[in-house]
Amino acid sequence: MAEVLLRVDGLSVRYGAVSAVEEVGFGVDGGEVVGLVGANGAGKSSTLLAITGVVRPQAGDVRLGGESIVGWSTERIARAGIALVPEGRHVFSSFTVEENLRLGLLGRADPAGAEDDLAWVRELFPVVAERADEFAGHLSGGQQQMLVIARALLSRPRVLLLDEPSLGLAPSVVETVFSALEQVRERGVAILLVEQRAHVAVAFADRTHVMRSGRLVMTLDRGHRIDVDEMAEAYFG
Amino acid sequence: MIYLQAFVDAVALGTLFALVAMGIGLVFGVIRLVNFAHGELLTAGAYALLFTKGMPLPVRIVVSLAVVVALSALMEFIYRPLRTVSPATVLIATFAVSFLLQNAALLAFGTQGENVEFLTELNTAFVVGGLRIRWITVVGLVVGGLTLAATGWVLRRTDAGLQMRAAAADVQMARLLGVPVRRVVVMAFLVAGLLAGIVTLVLAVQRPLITPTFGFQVMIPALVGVVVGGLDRLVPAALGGFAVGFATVMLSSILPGAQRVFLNTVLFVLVITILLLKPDGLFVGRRRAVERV
Ligand SMILES: Nc1ncnc2c1ncn2[C@@H]1O[C@H](COP(=O)(O)OP(=O)(O)O)[C@@H](O)[C@H]1O
Ligand SMILES: [Mg+2]
Repeated sequence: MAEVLLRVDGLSVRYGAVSAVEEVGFGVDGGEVVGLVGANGAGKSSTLLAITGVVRPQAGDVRLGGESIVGWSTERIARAGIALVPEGRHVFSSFTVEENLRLGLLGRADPAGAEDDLAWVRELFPVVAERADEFAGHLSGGQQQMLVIARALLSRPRVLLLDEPSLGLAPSVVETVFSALEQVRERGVAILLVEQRAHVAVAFADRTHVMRSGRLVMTLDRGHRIDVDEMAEAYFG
Repeated sequence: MIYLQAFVDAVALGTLFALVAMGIGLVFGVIRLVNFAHGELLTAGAYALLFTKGMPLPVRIVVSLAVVVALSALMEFIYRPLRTVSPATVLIATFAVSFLLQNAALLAFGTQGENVEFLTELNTAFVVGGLRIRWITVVGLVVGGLTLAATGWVLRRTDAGLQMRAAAADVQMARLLGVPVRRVVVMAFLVAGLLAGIVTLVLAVQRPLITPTFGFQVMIPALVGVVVGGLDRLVPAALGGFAVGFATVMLSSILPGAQRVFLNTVLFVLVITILLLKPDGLFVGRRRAVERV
């Protein structure tokens, strides 16, 4: 049987006495979009940080293409094909937009096709071409979000992890971002999408796991009509 | 006229201090470590020139540069285990390395000092418009200016430079983008070493008496400049170094001899206080707490 592209098994994360993630398991296959939703503090970001090696999981396994990547350095995991767009955007604000993109390109394992990808992200997010020479810190929140997604894509990830990309953005901007993400999906890039707002994820992802107090408590299929009581139960117990 | 004369010398020394400041700032940028032993890089380079006295000029230059760069790489290796300890501990540790090296030099070579006899002919002066300008001042300005420009170019225009700046600005995000942070740290120490090596060559002509505190005397005022300018921003750090170098020469041409002696002591106390109270520099208080590698 072919291995799932990204496989998380029995993952647990602790911060001292605080247990943030408990025995979480799920998979993301090639070309798939998987959602991960839950209330603030549910452990979504910690899951992504454990996958990318930013925090060391206390237990469990993370496999990329069948190979365990637990214990690898963050930079090695990035080069192996997992790109994280972290919560809060993290543009290099004193660098130009172009320099931010160049950093994405430098993260590629394989330089071939860089020009094509550059042309593609400029088409996806024209603003990164229009404001190439400006400082990234001068962009609006939505434009910065587009820049970090473009930058992540330039590293040609096999799996793109997005941590609350809609956070703090106007509805019209969220729409722009997600229509671009739709094209990313069409390109065959697997996506793990973390959102606090369940309806955003459920509308977009092939399936969405609901997380509560560090555990997965429910899985919703794409387009599942969200019932308020059901969601309140799933989010808050 | 005396002030104009001092001005020329002040610009020259300021340029050298800017290079020292840039080296310190470069290392601090990527690992949040103030390397007090940066001055001993200069000292080591100066002793290398001393030991190669009488040998052909290119040999002396290459050996001196190689010694400084190698020592800087060695320091990187020595500081590696310090990644997880508190900033105050790191500060003390780099102090310790600095004093250890100074005392080793003291034991081996004594306090007396010896004349390095390196490019002494550059100390002859020419006269323009009533100003006596030594050739080494001109050479120092040119070499220093070119080195600053070259370093700036590497940081701005090359991939390695971009990665170095990225690691300095946000090490976590840099890692997430696959920047090989360990390699970047080594590179920062190598570049800092090269800058220190170049400064040594110019300084050894200007101050040919080599003693165990040859570099320390330069490092302290340059560090004041870095701290004042802002530790993790290279241009302000270099400007800060320049300003302090400039001010030192101007002040000592104004101050009477007795007060000059205290200049370094005052600067030294100042820098320790600032580093202990505001380890990230004077002007970076409002920014995010930065993480060390
Ligand atoms: N660096 C940290 N140190 C201590 N506790 C943390 C840290 N980061 C997160 N936590 C705690 O872990 C839990 C999960 O947080 P997080 O993964 O950020 O959740 P989410 O992304 O779903 O909001 C929360 O209780 C949070 O307070
Ligand atoms: Mg979060």
